[in-house]
Amino acid sequence: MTSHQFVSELMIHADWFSGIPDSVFKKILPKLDPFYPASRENHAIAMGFGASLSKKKPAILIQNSGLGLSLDALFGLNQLYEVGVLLIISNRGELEWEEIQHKSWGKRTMDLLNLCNITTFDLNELGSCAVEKAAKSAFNDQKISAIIVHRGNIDE
Amino acid sequence: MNRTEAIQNIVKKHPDGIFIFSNGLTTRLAVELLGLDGPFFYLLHGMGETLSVGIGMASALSKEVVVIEGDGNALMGLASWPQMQLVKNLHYYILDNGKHATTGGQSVIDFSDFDNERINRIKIQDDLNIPPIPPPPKLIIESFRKSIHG
Repeated sequence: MTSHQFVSELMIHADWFSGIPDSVFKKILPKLDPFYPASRENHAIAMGFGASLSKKKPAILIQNSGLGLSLDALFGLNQLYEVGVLLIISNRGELEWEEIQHKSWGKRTMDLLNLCNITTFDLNELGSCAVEKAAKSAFNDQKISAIIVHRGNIDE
Repeated sequence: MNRTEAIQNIVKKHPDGIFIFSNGLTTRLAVELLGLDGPFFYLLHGMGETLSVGIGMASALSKEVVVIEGDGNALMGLASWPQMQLVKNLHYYILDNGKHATTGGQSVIDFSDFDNERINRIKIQDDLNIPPIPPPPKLIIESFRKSIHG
């Protein structure tokens, strides 16, 4: 899928963006508007939660390692007040050639998401339908919903 | 000045504001003072994230958003201070008693050297009474939505 296709689909379903850069999102991030850059993932989630209270549909782009900093915001804001959010998570460290510092997260990301009751939509399996389905889950059903992006799913 | 007086003064200063309070004693006291029927959002958790919630809310509203949080919360949210420049319609108040009053009065390290012109730091003494447990999150968010979106 090209970054253009992904961004077009995403901007149909979400209208407010934040996150922390990852090389997987290199071509996506500059095209998202409005984009509110955060310093840490939990603050991106919290800003998105605030935008939801102003009737926006936020999408937050993070690396899988950013889940570590995100969980307290997801539990203490989105889950507690039953406000959905669309997460877009790059699953770094799954591939043989990726650098060693990503491996721990690559091994555990899906298990962690399942453990935390976060509904996942795999971009590799679902293609562009993943965006529509995840957005429906986030904004109609008010669930924390994550699109999982594997390296190579979107052109870099 | 105590926490009660500080909250009352800030609310009076922003008659058209939408207010967000940080978890712990600040929310507990504010909900006891102000109730649910108004533009008040009370955080029950999300320590260090109050300012970010306010920034996100302000980014999508034309009204003034007022964030009120304790100094322990503010310290945890320090990395979100630069994002204040993304929104103009936000006022930020830190109620500074130098401690984590909710968890037993442990010291908060002084970080007032980092303050800038957007930071309104108010030194407070703690009230003697411990406010009751706040209402459940569903009631808080439903009341808030009704108040600001109708």
